Amino acid sequence: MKKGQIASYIEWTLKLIPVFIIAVFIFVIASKQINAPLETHPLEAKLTMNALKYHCLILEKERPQLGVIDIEKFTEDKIKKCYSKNELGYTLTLLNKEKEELKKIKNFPSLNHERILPVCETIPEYECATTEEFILIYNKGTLEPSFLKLEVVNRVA
Amino acid sequence: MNRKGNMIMETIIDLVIAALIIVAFFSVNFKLEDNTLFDQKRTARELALTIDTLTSAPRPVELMVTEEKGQSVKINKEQCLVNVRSTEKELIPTSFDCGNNNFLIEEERKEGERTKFTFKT
Repeated sequence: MKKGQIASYIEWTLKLIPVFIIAVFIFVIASKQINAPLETHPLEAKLTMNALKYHCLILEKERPQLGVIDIEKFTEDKIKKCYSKNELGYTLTLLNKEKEELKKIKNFPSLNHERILPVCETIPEYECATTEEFILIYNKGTLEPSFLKLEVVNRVA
Repeated sequence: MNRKGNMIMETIIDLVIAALIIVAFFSVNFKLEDNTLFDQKRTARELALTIDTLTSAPRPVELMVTEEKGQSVKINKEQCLVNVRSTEKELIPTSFDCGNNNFLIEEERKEGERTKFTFKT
């Protein structure tokens, strides 16, 4: 290869570098803007908690008792029938006032969701949230203070 | 090619590259100004999450849905899947899930531009 040809290649490469940088810049800005995320995951976690607390598990006597859950309804089968979503899995734990586990229910649309829950912060495709709320349990005619813990994993991508 | 010819060739190539960048910039800008896809996503989520909110509301409850201009909304009752598509542009429809086993629509009725959904007790 002649010296002149090498110089010509170098010259063209140098000229193309700014073009390449501008093209990448435009592409990055455009793709970020077009795929702008709609962060609804925290809201979905909150709505899941509300649906479970105020609908699936609520104690119903003459009328629904807000903030009181019926221990009889706390079964995996009933919960799965009551509230499930295709891309959302959750673990619901009932804790006593000393925060000791009383009962635990899992409802995952796929095994993948269950596996991801402990490590979901490291996987961008999934989002997790944990909420804990004070409630009263109705158990054999008595009310006991306790906590309801909800761990949600949601596929967002 | 002589020196003058080389310079003309280089100038033409530079102009072509510059023109390409300008065209790419304007086409991207035009694409970004268009909110149709974002609106589709927003409508699907808004409606699906409203239905989820109704899960914990006292029944019977009614939901009025007004389709936005240029959008068509369909709800798959069995899977509780809200599907929104553009009626003006050729775009991929957007779907979003709501809680599927508590979605019991008793009645779906068109009232002018609005659709009224009544949920079972």
